[in-house]
Amino acid sequence: MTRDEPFIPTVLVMELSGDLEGRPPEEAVSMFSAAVSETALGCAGAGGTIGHIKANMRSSEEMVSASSTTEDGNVRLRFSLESPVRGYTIVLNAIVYRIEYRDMKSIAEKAFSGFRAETSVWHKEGICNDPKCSDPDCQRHHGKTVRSD
Amino acid sequence: MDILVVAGMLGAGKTSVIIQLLEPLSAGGRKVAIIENEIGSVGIDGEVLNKGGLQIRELAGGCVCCTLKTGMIDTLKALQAEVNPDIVVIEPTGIADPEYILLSVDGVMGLTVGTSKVVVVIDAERFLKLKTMFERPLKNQMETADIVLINKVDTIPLQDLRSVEDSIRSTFKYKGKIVHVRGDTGDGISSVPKEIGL
Repeated sequence: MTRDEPFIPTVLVMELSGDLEGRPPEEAVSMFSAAVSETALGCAGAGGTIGHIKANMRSSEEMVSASSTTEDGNVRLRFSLESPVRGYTIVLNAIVYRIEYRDMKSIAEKAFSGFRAETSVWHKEGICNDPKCSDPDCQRHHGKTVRSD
Repeated sequence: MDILVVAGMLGAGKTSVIIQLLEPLSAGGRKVAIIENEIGSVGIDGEVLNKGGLQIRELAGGCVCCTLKTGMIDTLKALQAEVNPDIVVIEPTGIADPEYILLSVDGVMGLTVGTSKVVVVIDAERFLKLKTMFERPLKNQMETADIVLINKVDTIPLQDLRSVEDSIRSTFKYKGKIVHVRGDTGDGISSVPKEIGL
């Protein structure tokens, strides 16, 4: 298996945290859902094939989870936020085929810009070149053979 | 301890299917635990499953069929010792080879594995579009499948569903049972454990 195989995706992980200053939960969830949708649409628009765009948003003890697995930006939500949102954290895991990491990051940054995060962390996840390994995420072994049997 | 591997491409709806499988798998007071393996260094689905108060172990940043094989075995041993589940559901990454997973737990000292089964979840809406791109991992998954669940059947017309089925049979030479399901509502899923002898 090589990086050029079509089923090896680009994997982006984003972690945001900040304060939405008591924004109503419906509004925060709507913003969150729209950002996930915009990320999916943006990646599709850039020629990517969506593996999945998944994100969780936590505020206090509450969590809403969003998932988009198609190129039309349709988002499915699980759970919800019930209380006004102050401090929040968002974790996004985006897996998209046939797209460059820098394009994905740029799309996601723009999509989530409304959250004006105080901290943001971005990871590009590595892949494994082991010819027998069918998993794209072998960050520790990036570019190395990880199994010799 | 029986093992159920729920394989399938990214976005096929594996986590949704697992959520719907929990009730029939738990019938008769059986204890169910889940090993969640995600691409990427953070767990998303594990948090979702955790909301239900389930016994979840997450293995992120690698694949249980290769780089995290040892981690999976250690996790299974820990589950056996701490929880003693009747069934462990393993959700691997979208392109994992279930055969590697089953082979890796076979005959491991200190691990008592009973029946092992593989469910493959297919996304009805995207299968025909993506099957060429994912032919190799799909082939691996179909070769080990005890049952194939075509998920999201409400998203395409019946005639297209037949095309998906035909393609599963012709492209991947799959001869086993195919069931139409909906992970969001649970339609078609409750009988799956019985169908595969779990």
